[in-house]
Amino acid sequence: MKLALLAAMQMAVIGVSARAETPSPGPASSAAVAAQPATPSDASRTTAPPEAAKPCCVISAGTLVSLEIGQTLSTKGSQTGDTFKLRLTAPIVINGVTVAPVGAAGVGEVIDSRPGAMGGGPGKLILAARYLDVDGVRIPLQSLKLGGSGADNTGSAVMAAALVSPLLMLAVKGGDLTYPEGMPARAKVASDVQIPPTAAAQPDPSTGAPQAPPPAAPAPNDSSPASKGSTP
Amino acid sequence: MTLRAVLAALALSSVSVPVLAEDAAAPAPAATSAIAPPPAGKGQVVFFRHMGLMGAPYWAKVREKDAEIGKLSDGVYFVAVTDPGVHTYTAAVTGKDTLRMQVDPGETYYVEGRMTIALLGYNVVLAPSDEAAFQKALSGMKRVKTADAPQ
Repeated sequence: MKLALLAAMQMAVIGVSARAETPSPGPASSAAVAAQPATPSDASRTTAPPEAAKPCCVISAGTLVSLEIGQTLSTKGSQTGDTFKLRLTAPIVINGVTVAPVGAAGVGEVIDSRPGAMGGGPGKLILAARYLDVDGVRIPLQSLKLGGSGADNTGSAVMAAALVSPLLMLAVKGGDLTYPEGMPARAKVASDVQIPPTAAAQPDPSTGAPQAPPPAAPAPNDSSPASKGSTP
Repeated sequence: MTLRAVLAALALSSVSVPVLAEDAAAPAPAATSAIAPPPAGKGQVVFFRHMGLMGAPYWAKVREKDAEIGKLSDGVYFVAVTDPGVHTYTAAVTGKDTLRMQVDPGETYYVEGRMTIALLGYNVVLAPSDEAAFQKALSGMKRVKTADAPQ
């Protein structure tokens, strides 16, 4: 019994010293540490707080992300409530670790879409970002300020009605609006998101910096609404 | 019938549309070059209408559902602080227009009220805008209070 107790204590001491000797946490090593949930007893015995390992895998709320529209949207073809594709155009890098690579897929929502109206009223198209999907982890997005209106042709409609015929007013339509695929946009991360360390520990062969693996292919049961999009 | 005659007739035909009487109870602060950020956890929408001749005597009430938010007269703006989420605003003169938009916490959005001529009077169009357009129109505009602002 005493032998067993001594062996257990020795193992614990070895474990603690091994962690204490760990050099300033590199992204990969810290990701690995983050993968091991620290128990209260671990925390009391280690010299470095377990929180030190977390930042590499946490995307903070308010982080700016560069996106592009993943499909052409227009006041003619999009309906209010439709979802659309977004793509990340610059990686999200936390403490040198790429936690979301370029090309990561996201989803947005058409908040308002109205085609140009008879009588010259302009079309309107207002979009919002909803989330990015990185290896099954959803990063909620907000603050995508992308919206506008088409040309207002009501003046032309009234002139046509006055000078020719009131019926002609109905023939004059307001301008439509189109956002082409690839149009750049910016948004912010809506809340803190913990990225699993497995998605953030691969070194980038070109720069030497750790890099997340490329986005996984959609699961067979992926019911992402963006998949309904009409990318040309 | 010339265009001038048509426009004159339109102006006369719409005299019954109420003309804006500046809200005496709402003192107009001087226009600022920047809009202060919204309170924590809130978003805000800046409704503005730049000064112009088109429909100058007319104003439009901006509402959300049945609640009046403010009045857009010629050359004014007001700031509506609101909870995050999707909001639907309407504005009406002789015709009505609607704008549905997403408001996120900590963000400021800009909506321009544009007066457009109609067969019988004027319509207002609520058009999504941005800070650059607002700053460009700011010269000559004055800020008015929202309908629910404390007097």
